Amino acid sequence: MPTVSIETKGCRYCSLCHDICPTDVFDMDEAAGLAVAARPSDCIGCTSCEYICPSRCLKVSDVERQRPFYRIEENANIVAKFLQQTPVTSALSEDDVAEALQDVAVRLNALGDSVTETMGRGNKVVGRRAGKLSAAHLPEMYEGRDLQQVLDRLQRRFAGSFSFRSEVASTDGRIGIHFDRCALANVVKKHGQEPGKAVLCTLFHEFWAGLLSEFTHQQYALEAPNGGPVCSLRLKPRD
Amino acid sequence: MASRTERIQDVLRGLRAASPDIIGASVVSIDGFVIASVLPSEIDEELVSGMAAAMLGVGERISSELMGSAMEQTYVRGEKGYVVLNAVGGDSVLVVLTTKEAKLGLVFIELKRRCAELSQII
Repeated sequence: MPTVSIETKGCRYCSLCHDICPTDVFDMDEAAGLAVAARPSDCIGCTSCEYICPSRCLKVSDVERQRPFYRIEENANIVAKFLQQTPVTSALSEDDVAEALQDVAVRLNALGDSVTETMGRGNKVVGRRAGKLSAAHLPEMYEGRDLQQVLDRLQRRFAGSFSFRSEVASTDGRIGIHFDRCALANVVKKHGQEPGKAVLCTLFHEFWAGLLSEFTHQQYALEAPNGGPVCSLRLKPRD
Repeated sequence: MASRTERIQDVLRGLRAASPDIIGASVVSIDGFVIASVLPSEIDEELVSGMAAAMLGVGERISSELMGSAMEQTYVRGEKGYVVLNAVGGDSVLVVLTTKEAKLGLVFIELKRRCAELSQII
């Protein structure tokens, strides 16, 4: 459970922490002229209060970063308690999910087609560049000391979205990445394309090449992927 | 015997030495990887190679859609000079940066000669 601590000497009774807290952890003690963490057990560790405190006198510690936050049932229950709304996932029917998948498939395929129609053979660069730029949004990956640690961290980071296995060849440093039940496979199939060879697959695979190149400071080139039931791709280090 | 990269590097050095208006040159694969380069140190090679590959792709698309033919060359004129991209073989591109004062006709002649040399190596 997160711990909220306020350094009372620094608190200026501005009430920003009280106003921003999504779970109403704070009370304002008018007599003392201080903010008080009155209900710390309700803290979800979003750190909004720490971020907004102008005096830098508020600290939230023991926070476990949970991603994707809202897919974790415990968090969904807290949201339900404070917003007095049932998490939307339980209100979705199978038809809703199918319709959403169809909608996403149409949009993603349109995106892939437009990138290829505009960029031609240059489309791979777009995917790789996207991976490199996305790396900045995953700063915790830079803490990995070697390639295997980075891969392990990525595996944990994306666990809520998709699962993959990886291995690094000790002989030539090639990375093998194997995606189980890739959601993109369904998307490209709906467009009549072959998983692994479709434009979206290429963009996604190049994205991974860019992402890992950025974290490891080693350029990786994509080798022919295999788009079977488990989509596998290999990344070859470049000199 | 010199490696392929070294031979390409030699061609690029020769190109740069051909005119003081040629600031730098680079050979880039269609995948956006630098094959060889003699660019000034302040230029991000990786970024240039990515953009060159993207531009080659766009150039090919424009040429094919509007003229129904393969692209040979494309160039960008900026306030400070030119960026010229010339296809080399089927899967790579020669990128040349020049000053604003460069005589483009001479640069193009030099490019044609060097591209022929590079095609032999690549």
